[in-house]
Amino acid sequence: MINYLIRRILLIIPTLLGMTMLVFSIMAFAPGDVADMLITSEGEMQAGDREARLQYIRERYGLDDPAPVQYLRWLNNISPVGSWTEANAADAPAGVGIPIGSNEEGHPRYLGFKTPDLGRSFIRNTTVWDAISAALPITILLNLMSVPITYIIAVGMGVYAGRYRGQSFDVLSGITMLAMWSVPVIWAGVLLQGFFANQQYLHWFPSSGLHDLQADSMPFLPRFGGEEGFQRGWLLDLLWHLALPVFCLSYTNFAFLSKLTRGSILENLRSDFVRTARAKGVGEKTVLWQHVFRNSLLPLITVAAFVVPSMLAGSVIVETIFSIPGMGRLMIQAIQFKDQEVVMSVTLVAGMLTLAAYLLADLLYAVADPRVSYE
Amino acid sequence: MENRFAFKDLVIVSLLLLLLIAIGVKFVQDDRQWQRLGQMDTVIEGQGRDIAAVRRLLSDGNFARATGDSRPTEPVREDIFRRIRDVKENPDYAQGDWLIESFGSAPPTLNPLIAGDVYGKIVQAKIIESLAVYDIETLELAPLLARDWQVADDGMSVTFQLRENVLFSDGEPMTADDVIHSLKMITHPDIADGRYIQWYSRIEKVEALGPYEVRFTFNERHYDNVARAAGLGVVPEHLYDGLTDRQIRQSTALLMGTGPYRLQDPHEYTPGSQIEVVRNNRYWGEQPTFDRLVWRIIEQDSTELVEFQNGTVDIIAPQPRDHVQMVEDEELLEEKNYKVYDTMRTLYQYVAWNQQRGGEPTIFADKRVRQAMTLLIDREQLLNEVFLGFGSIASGPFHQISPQADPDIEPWPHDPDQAMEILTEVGFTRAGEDTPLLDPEGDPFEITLVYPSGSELYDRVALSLRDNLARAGIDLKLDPQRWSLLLATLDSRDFDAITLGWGAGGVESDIEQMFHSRTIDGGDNRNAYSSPELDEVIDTAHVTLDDDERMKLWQQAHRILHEDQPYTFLLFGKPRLWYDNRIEGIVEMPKLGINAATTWPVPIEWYVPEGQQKR
Repeated sequence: MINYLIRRILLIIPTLLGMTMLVFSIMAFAPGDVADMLITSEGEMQAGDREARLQYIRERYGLDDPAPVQYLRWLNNISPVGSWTEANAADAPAGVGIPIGSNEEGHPRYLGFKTPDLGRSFIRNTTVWDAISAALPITILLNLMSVPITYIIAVGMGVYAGRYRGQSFDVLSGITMLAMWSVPVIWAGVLLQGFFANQQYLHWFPSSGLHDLQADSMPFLPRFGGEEGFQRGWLLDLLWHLALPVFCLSYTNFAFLSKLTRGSILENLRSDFVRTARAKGVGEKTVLWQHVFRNSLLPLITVAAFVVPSMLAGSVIVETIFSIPGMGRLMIQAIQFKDQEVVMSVTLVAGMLTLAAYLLADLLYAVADPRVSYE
Repeated sequence: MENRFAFKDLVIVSLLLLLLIAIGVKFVQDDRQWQRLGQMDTVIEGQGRDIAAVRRLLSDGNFARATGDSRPTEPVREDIFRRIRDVKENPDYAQGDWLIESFGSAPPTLNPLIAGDVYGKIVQAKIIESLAVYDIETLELAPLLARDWQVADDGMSVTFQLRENVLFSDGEPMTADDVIHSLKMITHPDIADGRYIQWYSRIEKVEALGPYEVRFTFNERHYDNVARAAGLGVVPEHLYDGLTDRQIRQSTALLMGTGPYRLQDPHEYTPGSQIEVVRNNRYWGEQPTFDRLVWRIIEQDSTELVEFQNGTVDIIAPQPRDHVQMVEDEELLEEKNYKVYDTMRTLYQYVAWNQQRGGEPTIFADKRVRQAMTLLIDREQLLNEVFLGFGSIASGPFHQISPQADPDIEPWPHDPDQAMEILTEVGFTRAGEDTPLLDPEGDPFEITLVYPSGSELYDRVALSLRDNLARAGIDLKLDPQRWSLLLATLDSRDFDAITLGWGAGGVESDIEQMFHSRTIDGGDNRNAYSSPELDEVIDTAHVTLDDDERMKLWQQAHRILHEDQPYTFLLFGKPRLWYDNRIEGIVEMPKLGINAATTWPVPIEWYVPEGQQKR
């Protein structure tokens, strides 16, 4: 098991390399230049000044070098082992290593272990790490809420549809789920917002953002009674704001998961051990939940790995519609502005999350099914 | 079956999960309390400092002078606060409430030394004040942090006397040193990225003549010198104490000033989060109406509209198409109001005809061809069908309500017959109605129009132009390009024609950047338009300090541009503003649109009568 784990973790590295290289090449081949993007919003300038500034930005970010050099430099920056330049003696050293000469400006260079550096965002004027650590928890929160909801609802419906196959519940849920599956998130999001978050129709939910404007002055937990009556509090306010986005993230996976559950429940219901159980007088409930359901869980675990990347992708759309400052919005903005370092780092983080999900699914598989072993 | 996962295990796992969630929630709660405590500490600390200052004044016996009405020291010039003072006389006037607006994208930084985008400037305008500002009504420079100023006779220097009762929002007094330091910081080559250096390059030096008097000396005569010196935002010198150049450059906030509002924490801003500024209780001038100004980041137009309907955004500027729908929405009109107005600072749309490509002059180098293009384009139709009537046809780079525009110039008419006459004169031929127009060399006349992709408005503009030119047998090929690619195309100068918008900028717009031949290489004159006559007029205008005389020169420039048509000036937009009914005091200014133009620094004259306040 440990062997397998180490092998899998080591395999992650070349996969990530391939992934980032692909994304980098696409960006390198795409026309346009971040240096151009950076100076568009500036005020009036005189002849010559523009050229000088373009040159400055290109040099500062190394955009003048050929693309492979840029990619290798980025790899060196994000890796914990590599070379670095100590530009400012006053700054804390970036790592421990041996000196290997100096760069053109006379700053010493070192080779050894160092803190990985994701770089700086061109457009956000913060380190990429800051940008990601502000955005990632929000996306994770969204997904942590929608994954269990998706699973509970889809699996529950799948089990019942399988149990009562061909009856009205099965047909109805099948049609509804399929219909929901066909509705694109971008359309559903706008519709939900327009009908369920609009004063002119049903104003049940807030229309965008994560908090009410006055959330800062709210108590943390809901309060009842008192002079102002019921106050929803900060926590409930957050959940209330998350309701529509979480629904948008969840509903497309309903059909897929419930069909899968239904299929494997049906398969297991027809199998020999179910007939045996029934024959020896085990109750129908026990048969369904103890025997059939447990055995039908296996395919669900496998697909859990695919749900994570699809939700990350879904949050790109959902976050944009509902103005939620998560990874999706960060990504979209970075791509629009060709903010190279952010795009690369978001790819890296999303890639790592996805690969981790795959690995976890494989491990869970072994836990759930005694027949599977990685020895 | 030993490892059987029984119901008991499920309960245990669920309980464990619940516990974990509870711990997580507790962490968040504690974090939030710590933040609140920190804010409280800052407030209490500030109040302590204020009390200490008051004590000192009391013991010095200066109390009466320092807190007395500041009006006796009011300057002789126009009082910038007169309009809000008048508004405060209204019987239903009340201070309070929040004003909530939205930005289409998050400003990457609010740091006044490096922020270049318009959103950042809007926020800064409420926090940082300059020595003087243009009065929104009279368009004259009116004193703000300065009491008064004198311009030297040769126009090469200006001396400002500062107000003595001005405090930064942290309670420290503002002096001449801060003014000098502000200029030093904003033109610091290691901090400001060089972007403001050019703007202030004509300021030779600035020196303190006393604790409350500064003199700016210029190295070149220019009409805009005094305005630029007066427009310098004053930031506190002590804010940058102990910070390295690099830390200053990389900070996203560091935003503090003397203005009517302040950031809760001048060091803290996370790009992408909602921006809030709160009332600065130490403000020296007339207190503003709203307790708090909030800018939410909403990227989707549809979301913004819903937020506006829900009352969680107070003002929006919808697209023409949305506006037309909103005007018919009875339910919406019960709670909201709108204004459609003209402002001379608005954007104009144009088509630039490239006169030089790869070092060779193109067919557009002949001014008759450019004139013919303008005559072929039906701008009336464009205005009504694409812009739904929200705008006015442009005759040049100046809005017709601007004093820079020559009022006698009529835009070129839509006259295809005359255009064909001109084109025939140049050597173009066309066999009949259904045949293509042939250029003097006998090839079909094709033009490729570059424009930004992803915008429905631009798509429709381009289609309209294509339709107009097709009637004359000209094949206009459309080449929509992503913004970053389009900028590269502009830089390479490798295009036939391009359509874009240009913001008219400040109160007086300098056309050097687009039309002076000096800016063909490296500047914004990307279609290589060159006119020695216009160059001279622009250069003369630059050194003409007398306003009336200079306006005559701009009008002359307008006439030259009208004749030469380096661009086909399409139209000036007419902005729309929708606002919540509860807001009173929104009025239209003669030249500058709504009376709280976004980047204007003076306290907003809008208010919400008591009883209608929401927050």
